[in-house]
Amino acid sequence: MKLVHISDIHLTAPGERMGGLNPHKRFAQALDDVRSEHSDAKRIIITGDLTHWGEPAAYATLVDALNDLPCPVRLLIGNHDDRAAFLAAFPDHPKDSAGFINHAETVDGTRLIYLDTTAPCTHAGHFCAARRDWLENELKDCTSARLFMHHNAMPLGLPAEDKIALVPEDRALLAKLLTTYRDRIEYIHFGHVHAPVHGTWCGIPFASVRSTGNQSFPDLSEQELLQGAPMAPSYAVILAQDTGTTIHEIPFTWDGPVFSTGTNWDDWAKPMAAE
Amino acid sequence: MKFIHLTDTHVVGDGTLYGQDPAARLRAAVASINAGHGDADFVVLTGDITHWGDAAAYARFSREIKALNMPVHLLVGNHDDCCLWCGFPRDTP
Repeated sequence: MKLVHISDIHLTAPGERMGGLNPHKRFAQALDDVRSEHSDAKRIIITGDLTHWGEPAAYATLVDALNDLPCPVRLLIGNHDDRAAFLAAFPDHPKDSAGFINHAETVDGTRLIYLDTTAPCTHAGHFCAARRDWLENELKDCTSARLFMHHNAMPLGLPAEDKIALVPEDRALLAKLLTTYRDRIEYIHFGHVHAPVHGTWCGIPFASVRSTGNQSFPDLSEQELLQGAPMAPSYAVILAQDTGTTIHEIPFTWDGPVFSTGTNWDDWAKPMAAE
Repeated sequence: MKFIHLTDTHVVGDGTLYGQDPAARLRAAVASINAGHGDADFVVLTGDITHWGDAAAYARFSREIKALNMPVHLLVGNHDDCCLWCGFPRDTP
């Protein structure tokens, strides 16, 4: 099963820039690349920060952009989103009984679980008892699951960035829950950090993906300020198979040279000067 | 424990490879590791140290990697030459 993971598209009202770039253009480039290169994907999953300021006009551009795609799109919200404005733009979008944008589906035998880790007026992640109960209800009945969320639930060794990870009180209880079901959770996928970060947590592998906009710079000592740079974006292609998971970062804005080389031994032989 | 994973440095004896100088890239990586991650325990380099496995490339690699302020553990890759490699650098296990 091939899944496309896009994150932190930060759409604005039309004509407004975000961090010096046009987020609509970047998102359109990413979707065009998916259309041309990954039309065999089963899902396109966008893990939050759909908009930059949570404005209805920005959500309207998202509604318009999600057309002519090769597979269903699944949406999560992030700290830059506004739940009410999101639901106004996507009135039929699934949500749980408490009103959180938690939803799930089974694709190729794997439960894909999309989580809502947001709370109003904070950039940090939250996952309260009601949401944990909802998640446990999903996990207890499945044999194989893959979690998608906006926030990093775990600290990443980046002191400033970690200030807006999932808050510690919710983290500990989520860790307890995930540890209980770790044998059936294949992977945790998230966004939020605008960088590819990989590791394990609660015995479960995790991976984040870059933003389609600006990137963060991994500063392991900075205590207060998030570090960013206009480095190249990517989205991820996740190959989820019975034998394991492979994740590729797709540099969809690259337009420089691409070298082709064969794989035979002689294909890499050192060129000899003409006799 | 913190360690640095460096790989596929593909150093050539002289000149450039695909439009860039791998030795200059390695020098930049070494400088970044020393400046930003001096608290790491070691560097592990998982092969393809050189591009064509020639002695001049290993000599150039050796010059650059010596600037690291921490131990380095070297692995060979398909682009490396074990025969040339075995005696060089002489202080590598």
